[in-house]
Amino acid sequence: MKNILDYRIPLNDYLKAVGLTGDKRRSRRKVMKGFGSIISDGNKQYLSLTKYTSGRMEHLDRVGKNARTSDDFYVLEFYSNTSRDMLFEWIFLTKLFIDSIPDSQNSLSIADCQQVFDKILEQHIAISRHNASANKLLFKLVYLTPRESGSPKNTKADK
Amino acid sequence: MKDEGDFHVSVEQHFEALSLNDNQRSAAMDILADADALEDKNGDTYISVRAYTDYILPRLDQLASSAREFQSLDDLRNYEALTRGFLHEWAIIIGNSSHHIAKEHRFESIDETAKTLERLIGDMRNIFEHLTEADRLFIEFGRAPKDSPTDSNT
Repeated sequence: MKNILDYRIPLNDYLKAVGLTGDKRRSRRKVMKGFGSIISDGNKQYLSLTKYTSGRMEHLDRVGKNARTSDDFYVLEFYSNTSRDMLFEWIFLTKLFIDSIPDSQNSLSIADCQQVFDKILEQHIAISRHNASANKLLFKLVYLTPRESGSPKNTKADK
Repeated sequence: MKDEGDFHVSVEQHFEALSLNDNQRSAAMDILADADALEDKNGDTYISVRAYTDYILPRLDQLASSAREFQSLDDLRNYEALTRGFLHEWAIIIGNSSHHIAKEHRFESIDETAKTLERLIGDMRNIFEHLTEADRLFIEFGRAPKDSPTDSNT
């Protein structure tokens, strides 16, 4: 069986599917490059889906870990926004993946594709849990923490 | 209308997202009515995704059994096409549910909406298994095609 780490999709198809343009597109490419997930065959660039999604998940785990020990509004807001953006990105990713089957790019059998798909779905669930957790933390900080003024602040003294 | 673990999508929005033409809409409405998955609220019609799923999954099981039993390529093609169609539908439903999660501002509902999404994702995985099964059957039929009768005594 082929290693699922080999699953690749044309980079431009991916960027187009997630609707990134201009600076956002350039910045995302940088992130992808940082994860070592951009692969070139000389003619065309591909995204190693598994390397990229693993990189993004590790980043989200770190952001979540940081947020859970913080009472800084902006740290929690970043956690909430990052997990929400990823939730949406995984929708596009799922659609793109389904459209790519039967897979000609990677020569994977459908059974192999199911392994890749399982991983994507597992990540989608993990992201949803992160987002729920981030929103609860944010809710607790904003609405349940006694404060002198009504606006959120980002210092410990605010508590 | 809100049942635990269920998710409701507007029929109009769902059909729009699927880019269905009038004939396809009418056929889809028949299936949803058969599935008892249509619910009216405030003048709009919604799909109960739970009821829809409970109808779809056994139907796919039936199609798989029928394709296996009769070794019919037509049944198999139908089974595969329906599975792909439902996968696309579920990608849209899950997208819709994710938007719902992102917009959820009621603290007490955060866990509930997250669990609903997990359930929908689980259903999508079950549908994908049918695609794997269809592929397995195509290979099996390829090895021993029965699309023409083998009994030449008749």
